[in-house]
Amino acid sequence: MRVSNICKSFGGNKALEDVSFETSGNLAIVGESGGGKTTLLRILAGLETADSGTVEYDGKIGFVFQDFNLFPHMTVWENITIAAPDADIGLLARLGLESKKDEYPCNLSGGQRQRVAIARALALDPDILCFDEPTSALDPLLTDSVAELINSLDKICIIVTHDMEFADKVAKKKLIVDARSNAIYKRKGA
Amino acid sequence: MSFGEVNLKLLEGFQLNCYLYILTLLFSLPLGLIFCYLRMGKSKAIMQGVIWFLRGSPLMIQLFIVMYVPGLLFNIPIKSRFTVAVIAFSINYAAYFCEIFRGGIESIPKGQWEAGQVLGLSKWAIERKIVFPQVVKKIIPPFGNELLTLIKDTTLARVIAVPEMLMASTEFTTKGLIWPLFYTTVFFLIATAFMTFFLKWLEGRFAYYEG
Repeated sequence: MRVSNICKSFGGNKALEDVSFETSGNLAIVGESGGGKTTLLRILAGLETADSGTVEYDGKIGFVFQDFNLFPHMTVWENITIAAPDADIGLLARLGLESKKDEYPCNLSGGQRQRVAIARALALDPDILCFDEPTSALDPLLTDSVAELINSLDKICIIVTHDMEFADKVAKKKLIVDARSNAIYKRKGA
Repeated sequence: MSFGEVNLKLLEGFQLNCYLYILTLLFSLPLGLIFCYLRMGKSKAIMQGVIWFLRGSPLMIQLFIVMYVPGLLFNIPIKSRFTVAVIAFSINYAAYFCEIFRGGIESIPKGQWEAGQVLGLSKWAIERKIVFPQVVKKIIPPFGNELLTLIKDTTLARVIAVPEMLMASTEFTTKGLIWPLFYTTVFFLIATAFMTFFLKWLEGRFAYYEG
């Protein structure tokens, strides 16, 4: 994925200024709240339009929302197959959801809902998977299992998080997006 | 006049109330949906004015407008009074349904649309598969209120001389029989009881999920 000179303002307030980066592996986007991390992720996924700049990538992109945005009137399996009718049922077993196939999201725990959201994104076989604050809606004890899950996916994962420790676990590369200095690209490791 | 004869006469009138009720729903629901999309789209200002008029002026006046205006302005009077009632009721109730639909659609979190979008679903597929089923659940209570009100409102058709049940009962009062006028309440109570059971059943059908 190659991102060049992304700028975005909301009503005169600059959210992102001249953000550029390139990655072929997992990338964690970190920084303080309100710094533009989520805005950047939404631009990458096509949910927001940048004022200027380009986003280039090969293949398909998937997105896992902070609050999952599961469809409450559909069962787990219906959520997964709504856009991928030929989804492999093995996905459920892979994510530990085999017994939850016919449950509605309201009957699932936060961790299970997240796994359904991940399964729904994976069902479309994306090449890049975006995660918006994957640990914020979960019990802190689940952080390690989420990191494990992300690392087990054979995808380029772009993860927005405010948790530096979690960022270290899921990505070698980090992009620090800071509200005060707008966007600064820093590499760590890799 | 015997109890049976009064019942027969009142039932004849009530049949018209029922026809008016069913036809009003049949036309006002799709019309309300069209109003809703116009209200949320580019015709917002015009539709706000139209809905303000339809909800802000008495239905009785609207009945007279549909009754007389086409004839006075365009020389095409609507001859059937029952048709006038159906048109006026349908347009009036469409305005209320429009606002109920709009409230329902706007109550669906933006994230639901976005989730559909990132899954590559078309706008139409998002509306049909994701938004609409959730809107139905959310609008049952306000929609139910209108369904109950409409049962009683159908008696207003008497002002343009549609011989519905209340009109039939007032004819008895001219003959010195006052009790049929109060007796009509029984018909409406039975009809609203059926509707209340139906609405409870419908709410139960959507109770399988929270949201």
